[in-house]
Amino acid sequence: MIERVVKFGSVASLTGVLTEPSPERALADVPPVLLINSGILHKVGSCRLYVKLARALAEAGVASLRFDLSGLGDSDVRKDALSFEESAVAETQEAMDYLTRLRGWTSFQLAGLCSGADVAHMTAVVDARVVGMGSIDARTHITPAYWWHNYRPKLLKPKYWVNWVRVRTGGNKPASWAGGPDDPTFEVPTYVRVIPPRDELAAELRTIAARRVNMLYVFTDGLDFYNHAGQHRRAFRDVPFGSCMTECHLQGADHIITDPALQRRAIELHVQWALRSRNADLVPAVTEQFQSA
Amino acid sequence: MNALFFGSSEHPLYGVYHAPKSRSGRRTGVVLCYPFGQEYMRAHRAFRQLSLQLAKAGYHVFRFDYRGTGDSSGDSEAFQLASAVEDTVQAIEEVRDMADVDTVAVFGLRLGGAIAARVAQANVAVTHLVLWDAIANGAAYLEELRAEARVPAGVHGSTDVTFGVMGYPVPPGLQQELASLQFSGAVSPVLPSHAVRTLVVSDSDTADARAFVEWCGSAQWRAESMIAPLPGRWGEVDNWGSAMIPQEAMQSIVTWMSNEVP
Repeated sequence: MIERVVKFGSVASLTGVLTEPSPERALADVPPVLLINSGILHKVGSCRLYVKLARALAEAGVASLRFDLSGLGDSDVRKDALSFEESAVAETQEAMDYLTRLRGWTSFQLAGLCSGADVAHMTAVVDARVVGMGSIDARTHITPAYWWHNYRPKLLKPKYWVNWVRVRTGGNKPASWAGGPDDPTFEVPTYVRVIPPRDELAAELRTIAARRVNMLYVFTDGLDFYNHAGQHRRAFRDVPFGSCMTECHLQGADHIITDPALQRRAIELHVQWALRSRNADLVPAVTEQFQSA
Repeated sequence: MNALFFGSSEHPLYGVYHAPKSRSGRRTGVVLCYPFGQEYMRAHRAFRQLSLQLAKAGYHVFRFDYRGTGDSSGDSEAFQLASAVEDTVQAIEEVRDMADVDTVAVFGLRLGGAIAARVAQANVAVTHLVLWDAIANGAAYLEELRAEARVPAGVHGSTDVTFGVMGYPVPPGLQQELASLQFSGAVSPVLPSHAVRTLVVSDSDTADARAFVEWCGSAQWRAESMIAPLPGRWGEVDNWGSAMIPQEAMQSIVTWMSNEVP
Protein backbone atom coordinates (compact mmCIF):
# COMPACT_ATOMS: atom_id res chain seq x y z
CA MET A 1 0.00 0.00 0.00
CA ILE A 2 1.22 3.48 -0.85
CA GLU A 3 -0.22 6.66 0.62
CA ARG A 4 0.58 10.11 -0.71
CA VAL A 5 -0.69 13.60 -0.09
CA VAL A 6 -2.38 15.21 -3.08
CA LYS A 7 -3.51 18.79 -3.71
CA PHE A 8 -6.05 19.86 -6.26
CA GLY A 9 -8.90 22.31 -6.78
CA SER A 10 -9.25 25.39 -8.92
CA VAL A 11 -11.08 27.71 -6.50
CA ALA A 12 -9.75 26.49 -3.16
CA SER A 13 -6.68 24.36 -2.60
CA LEU A 14 -8.05 20.98 -1.46
CA THR A 15 -5.95 18.42 0.39
CA GLY A 16 -6.36 14.68 0.24
CA VAL A 17 -4.58 11.39 0.82
CA LEU A 18 -4.49 8.99 -2.10
CA THR A 19 -4.19 5.39 -0.92
CA GLU A 20 -3.23 2.89 -3.58
CA PRO A 21 -2.69 -0.85 -3.38
CA SER A 22 0.73 -2.24 -4.13
CA PRO A 23 0.99 -2.90 -7.90
CA GLU A 24 0.69 -6.68 -7.53
CA ARG A 25 -2.62 -6.34 -5.66
CA ALA A 26 -4.20 -3.56 -7.72
CA LEU A 27 -7.48 -4.45 -9.43
CA ALA A 28 -7.52 -2.37 -12.58
CA ASP A 29 -11.21 -3.00 -13.24
CA VAL A 30 -12.47 -1.61 -9.90
CA PRO A 31 -13.04 2.15 -9.91
CA PRO A 32 -11.40 4.11 -7.09
CA VAL A 33 -13.42 5.17 -4.07
CA LEU A 34 -13.69 8.81 -2.98
CA LEU A 35 -14.42 9.29 0.72
CA ILE A 36 -16.35 12.46 1.46
CA ASN A 37 -16.32 14.38 4.79
CA SER A 38 -19.11 13.84 7.25
CA GLY A 39 -20.17 17.12 8.85
CA ILE A 40 -17.16 19.06 10.04
CA LEU A 41 -15.07 15.94 10.72
CA HIS A 42 -11.87 16.02 8.70
CA LYS A 43 -10.87 13.36 6.21
CA VAL A 44 -9.72 10.90 8.88
CA GLY A 45 -13.42 10.17 9.55
CA SER A 46 -15.21 9.43 12.78
CA CYS A 47 -13.10 7.11 14.94
CA ARG A 48 -10.63 6.97 12.03
CA LEU A 49 -13.21 5.18 9.88
CA TYR A 50 -12.05 6.62 6.55
CA VAL A 51 -8.38 5.85 7.22
CA LYS A 52 -9.20 2.25 8.13
CA LEU A 53 -11.54 1.89 5.17
CA ALA A 54 -8.96 3.35 2.75
CA ARG A 55 -6.36 0.87 3.96
CA ALA A 56 -8.79 -2.08 3.86
CA LEU A 57 -9.71 -1.11 0.30
CA ALA A 58 -6.03 -0.97 -0.68
CA GLU A 59 -5.54 -4.39 0.88
CA ALA A 60 -8.35 -5.64 -1.37
CA GLY A 61 -6.75 -4.00 -4.42
CA VAL A 62 -8.84 -0.81 -4.62
CA ALA A 63 -7.50 2.76 -4.62
CA SER A 64 -9.18 5.53 -2.68
CA LEU A 65 -8.96 9.25 -2.10
CA ARG A 66 -10.02 10.74 1.20
CA PHE A 67 -10.03 14.50 0.98
CA ASP A 68 -11.25 17.58 2.76
CA LEU A 69 -13.90 19.73 1.18
CA SER A 70 -13.14 23.47 1.24
CA GLY A 71 -13.01 24.97 4.71
CA LEU A 72 -12.77 21.57 6.38
CA GLY A 73 -9.75 19.76 7.79
CA ASP A 74 -6.65 20.70 5.83
CA SER A 75 -8.29 22.34 2.84
CA ASP A 76 -8.50 26.08 2.21
CA VAL A 77 -11.67 28.12 2.35
CA ARG A 78 -13.47 29.00 -0.88
CA LYS A 79 -13.81 32.68 -1.62
CA ASP A 80 -16.84 32.47 -3.86
CA ALA A 81 -20.51 32.49 -2.91
CA LEU A 82 -21.51 28.90 -3.65
CA SER A 83 -23.71 27.10 -1.13
CA PHE A 84 -22.32 23.99 0.54
CA GLU A 85 -24.51 21.79 -1.66
CA GLU A 86 -23.08 23.42 -4.79
CA SER A 87 -19.46 23.63 -3.69
CA ALA A 88 -19.36 20.09 -2.26
CA VAL A 89 -20.60 18.58 -5.54
CA ALA A 90 -18.26 20.82 -7.59
CA GLU A 91 -15.29 19.84 -5.43
CA THR A 92 -16.12 16.13 -5.59
CA GLN A 93 -16.20 16.50 -9.37
CA GLU A 94 -12.86 18.30 -9.22
CA ALA A 95 -11.48 15.35 -7.25
CA MET A 96 -12.63 13.02 -10.04
CA ASP A 97 -11.14 15.31 -12.70
CA TYR A 98 -7.88 15.32 -10.79
CA LEU A 99 -7.75 11.52 -10.56
CA THR A 100 -8.47 11.27 -14.29
CA ARG A 101 -5.51 13.53 -15.00
CA LEU A 102 -3.30 11.70 -12.51
CA ARG A 103 -4.16 8.05 -13.23
CA GLY A 104 -6.51 8.01 -16.17
CA TRP A 105 -9.44 6.72 -14.12
CA THR A 106 -12.76 7.62 -15.74
CA SER A 107 -15.33 6.10 -13.39
CA PHE A 108 -15.58 6.46 -9.63
CA GLN A 109 -17.33 5.24 -6.52
CA LEU A 110 -18.30 7.73 -3.82
CA ALA A 111 -18.77 6.97 -0.15
CA GLY A 112 -19.52 8.93 2.98
CA LEU A 113 -21.24 9.09 6.32
CA CYS A 114 -24.18 11.43 6.93
CA SER A 115 -23.57 14.63 4.95
CA GLY A 116 -20.85 12.70 3.10
CA ALA A 117 -23.58 10.30 1.94
CA ASP A 118 -25.72 13.26 0.92
CA VAL A 119 -22.90 14.73 -1.18
CA ALA A 120 -22.27 11.31 -2.77
CA HIS A 121 -25.96 11.13 -3.69
CA MET A 122 -26.10 14.71 -5.03
CA THR A 123 -23.00 14.11 -7.15
CA ALA A 124 -24.26 10.74 -8.42
CA VAL A 125 -27.46 12.39 -9.62
CA VAL A 126 -25.62 14.85 -11.87
CA ASP A 127 -22.44 13.00 -12.84
CA ALA A 128 -22.50 9.80 -14.88
CA ARG A 129 -18.90 9.04 -13.95
CA VAL A 130 -20.22 7.88 -10.58
CA VAL A 131 -20.77 4.12 -10.85
CA GLY A 132 -20.85 3.34 -7.12
CA MET A 133 -22.38 5.01 -4.09
CA GLY A 134 -21.71 3.80 -0.54
CA SER A 135 -23.67 5.53 2.19
CA ILE A 136 -23.79 5.43 5.95
CA ASP A 137 -26.88 7.03 7.44
CA ALA A 138 -28.11 8.47 4.18
CA ARG A 139 -31.34 10.40 3.89
CA THR A 140 -34.35 8.12 3.80
CA HIS A 141 -38.03 8.18 4.66
CA ILE A 142 -40.25 6.72 7.32
CA THR A 143 -42.60 3.89 6.33
CA PRO A 144 -45.62 2.39 8.14
CA ALA A 145 -43.32 -0.47 9.18
CA TYR A 146 -41.09 2.11 10.88
CA TRP A 147 -43.92 2.99 13.29
CA TRP A 148 -44.57 -0.70 13.94
CA HIS A 149 -40.90 -1.28 14.78
CA ASN A 150 -40.83 1.91 16.83
CA TYR A 151 -43.83 1.23 19.03
CA ARG A 152 -44.05 -2.57 19.20
CA PRO A 153 -41.30 -3.03 21.84
CA LYS A 154 -42.61 -0.10 23.88
CA LEU A 155 -46.21 -1.27 23.87
CA LEU A 156 -45.17 -4.44 25.67
CA LYS A 157 -43.56 -2.54 28.55
CA PRO A 158 -45.78 -1.47 31.49
CA LYS A 159 -43.41 1.48 32.13
CA TYR A 160 -44.32 2.93 28.74
CA TRP A 161 -48.02 2.96 29.63
CA VAL A 162 -47.35 4.45 33.08
CA ASN A 163 -45.37 7.28 31.47
CA TRP A 164 -48.01 7.68 28.76
CA VAL A 165 -50.69 8.26 31.39
CA ARG A 166 -48.45 10.58 33.45
CA VAL A 167 -47.51 12.74 30.48
CA ARG A 168 -51.10 13.12 29.38
CA THR A 169 -52.34 13.92 32.88
CA GLY A 170 -49.59 16.51 33.41
CA GLY A 171 -47.78 14.35 35.95
CA ASN A 172 -44.38 14.67 34.36
CA LYS A 173 -42.71 15.52 31.13
CA PRO A 174 -40.14 13.43 29.32
CA ALA A 175 -36.60 14.75 29.67
CA SER A 176 -36.49 15.71 26.01
CA TRP A 177 -39.20 18.25 26.63
CA ALA A 178 -37.12 20.14 29.13
CA GLY A 179 -35.42 22.10 26.40
CA GLY A 180 -32.32 24.18 27.13
CA PRO A 181 -29.79 26.30 25.34
CA ASP A 182 -28.06 25.00 22.28
CA ASP A 183 -24.63 23.52 22.86
CA PRO A 184 -22.32 26.57 22.65
CA THR A 185 -19.40 24.34 21.68
CA PHE A 186 -21.04 23.04 18.52
CA GLU A 187 -19.81 24.74 15.43
CA VAL A 188 -22.81 24.93 13.17
CA PRO A 189 -21.88 23.53 9.76
CA THR A 190 -22.92 25.48 6.73
CA TYR A 191 -24.90 22.44 5.62
CA VAL A 192 -28.24 22.05 7.32
CA ARG A 193 -29.52 18.56 6.69
CA VAL A 194 -33.00 18.67 5.28
CA ILE A 195 -34.59 15.46 4.02
CA PRO A 196 -36.10 16.23 0.62
CA PRO A 197 -39.72 15.16 0.03
CA ARG A 198 -39.99 11.43 -0.65
CA ASP A 199 -41.04 11.86 -4.28
CA GLU A 200 -38.13 14.21 -4.99
CA LEU A 201 -35.64 11.79 -3.45
CA ALA A 202 -37.28 8.88 -5.30
CA ALA A 203 -36.94 10.69 -8.63
CA GLU A 204 -33.25 11.26 -7.98
CA LEU A 205 -32.77 7.65 -6.94
CA ARG A 206 -34.47 6.51 -10.14
CA THR A 207 -31.94 8.56 -12.10
CA ILE A 208 -29.11 6.87 -10.23
CA ALA A 209 -30.66 3.39 -10.44
CA ALA A 210 -31.26 3.78 -14.18
CA ARG A 211 -27.48 3.94 -14.60
CA ARG A 212 -27.20 0.74 -12.53
CA VAL A 213 -25.01 2.49 -9.97
CA ASN A 214 -23.67 0.04 -7.40
CA MET A 215 -25.35 1.16 -4.16
CA LEU A 216 -24.70 0.34 -0.52
CA TYR A 217 -26.83 1.75 2.27
CA VAL A 218 -25.66 1.17 5.82
CA PHE A 219 -27.83 2.55 8.59
CA THR A 220 -26.99 2.89 12.28
CA ASP A 221 -29.31 3.39 15.22
CA GLY A 222 -28.08 6.99 15.40
CA LEU A 223 -30.87 8.33 13.19
CA ASP A 224 -34.33 9.01 14.45
CA PHE A 225 -35.92 8.16 11.10
CA TYR A 226 -34.60 4.61 10.52
CA ASN A 227 -35.10 1.56 12.69
CA HIS A 228 -35.17 -1.73 10.76
CA ALA A 229 -33.42 -3.55 7.95
CA GLY A 230 -35.20 -3.08 4.64
CA GLN A 231 -36.81 0.24 5.53
CA HIS A 232 -34.94 2.16 2.83
CA ARG A 233 -35.92 -0.27 0.08
CA ARG A 234 -39.55 -0.19 1.28
CA ALA A 235 -39.54 3.61 1.49
CA PHE A 236 -38.60 3.71 -2.19
CA ARG A 237 -40.59 0.78 -3.58
CA ASP A 238 -41.03 2.71 -6.81
CA VAL A 239 -37.26 2.86 -7.42
CA PRO A 240 -36.03 -0.10 -9.49
CA PHE A 241 -32.98 -0.81 -7.33
CA GLY A 242 -32.96 -4.44 -8.52
CA SER A 243 -29.76 -6.20 -7.60
CA CYS A 244 -27.74 -2.96 -7.52
CA MET A 245 -28.58 -2.06 -3.92
CA THR A 246 -27.55 -3.60 -0.63
CA GLU A 247 -29.01 -2.34 2.64
CA CYS A 248 -27.66 -3.15 6.09
CA HIS A 249 -28.89 -2.11 9.51
CA LEU A 250 -26.00 -1.97 11.99
CA GLN A 251 -28.13 -2.61 15.02
CA GLY A 252 -26.76 -1.00 18.18
CA ALA A 253 -24.36 1.31 16.32
CA ASP A 254 -24.33 4.99 17.14
CA HIS A 255 -24.11 7.53 14.34
CA ILE A 256 -20.31 7.82 14.46
CA ILE A 257 -19.94 4.01 14.88
CA THR A 258 -17.78 3.87 17.99
CA ASP A 259 -18.28 0.12 18.54
CA PRO A 260 -15.17 -1.56 17.04
CA ALA A 261 -17.03 -4.70 15.89
CA LEU A 262 -19.70 -2.65 14.15
CA GLN A 263 -17.06 -0.40 12.63
CA ARG A 264 -15.26 -3.49 11.30
CA ARG A 265 -18.54 -4.70 9.80
CA ALA A 266 -19.15 -1.31 8.16
CA ILE A 267 -15.67 -1.49 6.63
CA GLU A 268 -16.20 -5.09 5.40
CA LEU A 269 -19.49 -4.08 3.80
CA HIS A 270 -17.81 -1.19 2.00
CA VAL A 271 -14.97 -3.35 0.72
CA GLN A 272 -17.48 -5.93 -0.58
CA TRP A 273 -19.49 -3.11 -2.12
CA ALA A 274 -16.46 -1.58 -3.86
CA LEU A 275 -15.47 -4.95 -5.32
CA ARG A 276 -19.02 -5.63 -6.48
CA SER A 277 -18.69 -2.89 -9.08
CA ARG A 278 -16.65 -5.38 -11.14
CA ASN A 279 -19.85 -7.19 -12.03
CA ALA A 280 -22.95 -5.98 -10.23
CA ASP A 281 -25.26 -8.34 -12.14
CA LEU A 282 -23.79 -11.44 -10.53
CA VAL A 283 -24.44 -10.39 -6.97
CA PRO A 284 -27.92 -10.80 -5.50
CA ALA A 285 -29.54 -7.98 -3.56
CA VAL A 286 -29.04 -8.27 0.16
CA THR A 287 -30.88 -6.81 3.10
CA GLU A 288 -29.00 -7.51 6.28
CA GLN A 289 -29.31 -6.80 9.95
CA PHE A 290 -26.05 -6.99 11.87
CA GLN A 291 -25.61 -6.80 15.59
CA SER A 292 -22.36 -6.65 17.53
CA ALA A 293 -21.65 -9.63 19.78
CA MET B 1 -1.39 24.98 4.40
CA ASN B 2 0.98 22.40 3.02
CA ALA B 3 0.29 18.78 3.92
CA LEU B 4 3.00 16.16 3.61
CA PHE B 5 4.20 12.79 4.79
CA PHE B 6 7.50 12.87 6.65
CA GLY B 7 9.64 10.68 8.87
CA SER B 8 10.87 7.17 8.17
CA SER B 9 9.54 5.05 5.33
CA GLU B 10 8.68 2.45 7.98
CA HIS B 11 6.37 4.84 9.89
CA PRO B 12 5.40 7.73 7.63
CA LEU B 13 3.76 10.55 9.55
CA TYR B 14 1.22 13.01 8.24
CA GLY B 15 1.83 16.66 8.97
CA VAL B 16 0.63 20.09 7.88
CA TYR B 17 2.99 23.03 7.60
CA HIS B 18 1.68 26.59 7.86
CA ALA B 19 4.12 29.15 6.49
CA PRO B 20 4.25 32.56 8.21
CA LYS B 21 1.77 35.05 6.85
CA SER B 22 3.63 38.12 8.02
CA ARG B 23 7.19 39.33 7.76
CA SER B 24 7.81 39.48 11.46
CA GLY B 25 11.23 37.88 11.29
CA ARG B 26 10.34 35.22 13.88
CA ARG B 27 13.14 32.77 14.43
CA THR B 28 11.20 30.07 16.28
CA GLY B 29 9.14 27.28 14.75
CA VAL B 30 6.03 26.01 16.51
CA VAL B 31 5.13 22.31 16.73
CA LEU B 32 1.63 21.41 17.87
CA CYS B 33 0.90 18.14 19.71
CA TYR B 34 -2.66 16.81 19.46
CA PRO B 35 -4.53 15.12 22.29
CA PHE B 36 -5.65 11.47 22.16
CA GLY B 37 -8.83 9.71 21.00
CA GLN B 38 -12.07 11.63 20.56
CA GLU B 39 -10.32 14.68 22.03
CA TYR B 40 -8.16 14.66 18.88
CA MET B 41 -11.25 14.83 16.67
CA ARG B 42 -12.87 17.47 18.87
CA ALA B 43 -9.73 19.63 18.91
CA HIS B 44 -8.72 19.26 15.26
CA ARG B 45 -10.60 22.33 14.11
CA ALA B 46 -9.16 24.37 17.01
CA PHE B 47 -5.64 23.25 16.02
CA ARG B 48 -6.26 24.37 12.45
CA GLN B 49 -7.48 27.77 13.68
CA LEU B 50 -4.61 28.10 16.14
CA SER B 51 -2.11 27.25 13.40
CA LEU B 52 -3.58 29.89 11.11
CA GLN B 53 -3.44 32.49 13.89
CA LEU B 54 0.15 31.62 14.77
CA ALA B 55 1.13 31.75 11.08
CA LYS B 56 -0.52 35.16 10.91
CA ALA B 57 1.63 36.16 13.88
CA GLY B 58 4.68 35.24 11.82
CA TYR B 59 5.54 31.72 12.99
CA HIS B 60 6.39 28.62 11.00
CA VAL B 61 3.81 26.18 12.35
CA PHE B 62 3.74 22.42 12.03
CA ARG B 63 0.98 20.12 13.29
CA PHE B 64 1.15 16.39 12.74
CA ASP B 65 -0.48 13.07 13.58
CA TYR B 66 1.42 10.61 15.79
CA ARG B 67 1.77 7.09 14.37
CA GLY B 68 -1.43 5.14 14.92
CA THR B 69 -3.50 8.33 14.81
CA GLY B 70 -5.13 10.50 12.17
CA ASP B 71 -3.71 10.15 8.67
CA SER B 72 -0.35 8.80 9.86
CA SER B 73 0.67 5.19 9.36
CA GLY B 74 -0.09 2.44 11.82
CA ASP B 75 -3.13 0.83 13.38
CA SER B 76 -4.88 2.71 16.16
CA GLU B 77 -3.59 0.07 18.60
CA ALA B 78 -0.05 1.22 17.74
CA PHE B 79 -0.39 4.55 19.53
CA GLN B 80 1.98 4.75 22.49
CA LEU B 81 3.46 7.59 24.49
CA ALA B 82 7.04 6.54 23.75
CA SER B 83 6.47 6.48 19.99
CA ALA B 84 4.50 9.75 20.16
CA VAL B 85 7.53 11.37 21.83
CA GLU B 86 9.77 10.01 19.05
CA ASP B 87 7.35 11.30 16.42
CA THR B 88 7.33 14.75 18.00
CA VAL B 89 11.12 14.83 17.88
CA GLN B 90 10.89 13.98 14.17
CA ALA B 91 8.31 16.75 13.70
CA ILE B 92 10.72 19.21 15.35
CA GLU B 93 13.46 18.16 12.95
CA GLU B 94 11.06 18.50 10.04
CA VAL B 95 10.06 22.06 10.86
CA ARG B 96 13.65 23.04 11.56
CA ASP B 97 14.64 21.75 8.10
CA MET B 98 11.64 23.18 6.28
CA ALA B 99 11.64 26.60 7.88
CA ASP B 100 15.36 26.88 8.54
CA VAL B 101 14.82 27.74 12.20
CA ASP B 102 17.11 26.62 15.01
CA THR B 103 14.68 26.64 17.90
CA VAL B 104 11.09 25.59 18.43
CA ALA B 105 8.20 26.15 20.77
CA VAL B 106 6.18 23.02 21.46
CA PHE B 107 2.49 23.32 22.19
CA GLY B 108 0.46 20.42 23.60
CA LEU B 109 -3.17 19.95 24.52
CA ARG B 110 -4.27 17.34 27.13
CA LEU B 111 -2.21 14.17 26.53
CA GLY B 112 -0.37 16.12 23.84
CA GLY B 113 0.80 18.39 26.67
CA ALA B 114 2.40 15.47 28.47
CA ILE B 115 4.08 14.40 25.22
CA ALA B 116 5.29 17.97 24.60
CA ALA B 117 6.70 18.20 28.14
CA ARG B 118 8.54 14.89 27.73
CA VAL B 119 10.06 16.14 24.49
CA ALA B 120 11.03 19.51 25.99
CA GLN B 121 12.89 17.70 28.78
CA ALA B 122 15.40 16.18 26.41
CA ASN B 123 15.50 18.29 23.29
CA VAL B 124 17.77 21.34 23.34
CA ALA B 125 16.02 22.82 20.30
CA VAL B 126 12.92 23.42 22.45
CA THR B 127 13.04 26.86 24.04
CA HIS B 128 9.35 27.37 24.79
CA LEU B 129 6.58 25.09 25.95
CA VAL B 130 2.84 25.75 26.06
CA LEU B 131 0.76 23.22 27.98
CA TRP B 132 -3.00 23.53 27.63
CA ASP B 133 -5.14 21.50 30.02
CA ALA B 134 -2.24 19.09 29.93
CA ILE B 135 -2.30 15.70 31.68
CA ALA B 136 0.16 15.67 34.58
CA ASN B 137 -1.29 12.63 36.33
CA GLY B 138 -1.49 9.75 33.86
CA ALA B 139 -3.04 7.34 36.35
CA ALA B 140 -5.96 9.70 37.01
CA TYR B 141 -6.40 10.21 33.26
CA LEU B 142 -6.41 6.44 32.74
CA GLU B 143 -9.17 6.14 35.33
CA GLU B 144 -11.14 8.83 33.47
CA LEU B 145 -10.77 6.83 30.26
CA ARG B 146 -11.84 3.64 32.01
CA ALA B 147 -14.88 5.36 33.46
CA GLU B 148 -15.76 6.78 30.05
CA ALA B 149 -15.40 3.32 28.53
CA ARG B 150 -17.54 1.83 31.30
CA VAL B 151 -14.90 -0.81 31.98
CA PRO B 152 -16.43 -3.31 34.43
CA ALA B 153 -15.38 -2.74 38.04
CA GLY B 154 -13.43 -6.01 38.20
CA VAL B 155 -11.19 -4.87 35.38
CA HIS B 156 -10.33 -1.55 37.03
CA GLY B 157 -6.71 -1.47 38.07
CA SER B 158 -5.77 -4.06 35.48
CA THR B 159 -3.71 -2.99 32.51
CA ASP B 160 -3.83 -6.34 30.73
CA VAL B 161 -6.90 -5.90 28.56
CA THR B 162 -7.45 -3.48 25.70
CA PHE B 163 -10.50 -1.35 26.16
CA GLY B 164 -12.05 1.18 23.83
CA VAL B 165 -13.07 4.75 24.56
CA MET B 166 -15.59 6.13 22.10
CA GLY B 167 -14.07 4.21 19.22
CA TYR B 168 -10.40 4.49 20.20
CA PRO B 169 -8.55 1.49 21.62
CA VAL B 170 -6.43 1.83 24.77
CA PRO B 171 -4.12 -1.19 24.57
CA PRO B 172 -2.20 -2.59 27.56
CA GLY B 173 1.08 -0.91 26.56
CA LEU B 174 -0.51 2.52 26.55
CA GLN B 175 -2.31 1.82 29.83
CA GLN B 176 0.99 0.93 31.48
CA GLU B 177 2.61 4.08 30.14
CA LEU B 178 -0.27 6.19 31.42
CA ALA B 179 -0.24 4.49 34.81
CA SER B 180 3.36 5.58 35.34
CA LEU B 181 3.05 9.03 33.76
CA GLN B 182 3.47 11.76 36.33
CA PHE B 183 4.72 15.31 36.34
CA SER B 184 5.17 16.98 39.70
CA GLY B 185 7.71 18.83 41.78
CA ALA B 186 8.35 15.61 43.71
CA VAL B 187 9.24 13.64 40.62
CA SER B 188 12.50 15.09 39.43
CA PRO B 189 12.61 15.53 35.70
CA VAL B 190 15.74 14.65 33.83
CA LEU B 191 17.28 18.06 34.15
CA PRO B 192 18.10 19.40 30.75
CA SER B 193 21.03 21.63 30.15
CA HIS B 194 18.77 24.34 28.81
CA ALA B 195 15.94 26.48 30.12
CA VAL B 196 12.47 26.21 28.69
CA ARG B 197 10.10 29.11 29.14
CA THR B 198 6.71 27.56 29.87
CA LEU B 199 3.09 28.67 29.80
CA VAL B 200 0.63 26.46 31.67
CA VAL B 201 -2.93 27.13 30.50
CA SER B 202 -5.87 25.56 32.27
CA ASP B 203 -9.62 25.80 32.42
CA SER B 204 -9.45 26.52 36.16
CA ASP B 205 -6.95 26.12 38.98
CA THR B 206 -6.48 22.38 38.46
CA ALA B 207 -4.18 19.91 40.19
CA ASP B 208 -2.64 19.06 36.82
CA ALA B 209 -1.80 22.70 36.12
CA ARG B 210 -0.26 23.16 39.59
CA ALA B 211 1.74 19.97 39.13
CA PHE B 212 3.22 21.24 35.88
CA VAL B 213 4.17 24.58 37.44
CA GLU B 214 5.92 22.72 40.29
CA TRP B 215 7.58 20.39 37.82
CA CYS B 216 8.94 23.35 35.85
CA GLY B 217 10.15 24.87 39.13
CA SER B 218 12.07 21.72 39.98
CA ALA B 219 13.80 21.99 36.59
CA GLN B 220 14.56 25.69 37.19
CA TRP B 221 12.32 26.58 34.26
CA ARG B 222 10.36 29.84 34.30
CA ALA B 223 6.68 28.96 34.23
CA GLU B 224 3.65 31.17 34.00
CA SER B 225 0.03 30.18 34.62
CA MET B 226 -2.97 31.30 32.63
CA ILE B 227 -6.60 30.53 33.39
CA ALA B 228 -8.65 30.19 30.21
CA PRO B 229 -12.19 28.94 30.86
CA LEU B 230 -13.62 26.54 28.28
CA PRO B 231 -17.17 26.40 26.96
CA GLY B 232 -17.22 22.61 27.49
CA ARG B 233 -15.06 19.55 28.11
CA TRP B 234 -12.46 18.36 25.62
CA GLY B 235 -13.58 14.80 26.25
CA GLU B 236 -17.26 15.48 25.63
CA VAL B 237 -18.69 13.47 22.74
CA ASP B 238 -22.06 13.79 21.12
CA ASN B 239 -23.69 11.70 18.45
CA TRP B 240 -22.44 13.95 15.66
CA GLY B 241 -18.74 14.35 16.54
CA SER B 242 -18.82 18.07 17.23
CA ALA B 243 -15.78 20.34 17.56
CA MET B 244 -14.79 22.74 20.33
CA ILE B 245 -13.09 25.98 19.33
CA PRO B 246 -12.36 28.12 22.41
CA GLN B 247 -11.56 31.25 20.47
CA GLU B 248 -10.79 33.50 23.44
CA ALA B 249 -8.38 31.02 25.01
CA MET B 250 -6.65 30.52 21.68
CA GLN B 251 -6.29 34.26 21.21
CA SER B 252 -4.76 34.59 24.69
CA ILE B 253 -2.24 31.86 23.88
CA VAL B 254 -1.31 33.50 20.56
CA THR B 255 -0.90 36.86 22.32
CA TRP B 256 1.36 35.32 24.97
CA MET B 257 3.43 33.59 22.31
CA SER B 258 3.69 36.73 20.19
CA ASN B 259 5.09 38.57 23.21
CA GLU B 260 7.34 35.86 24.60
CA VAL B 261 8.49 33.67 21.70
CA PRO B 262 10.86 35.38 19.25
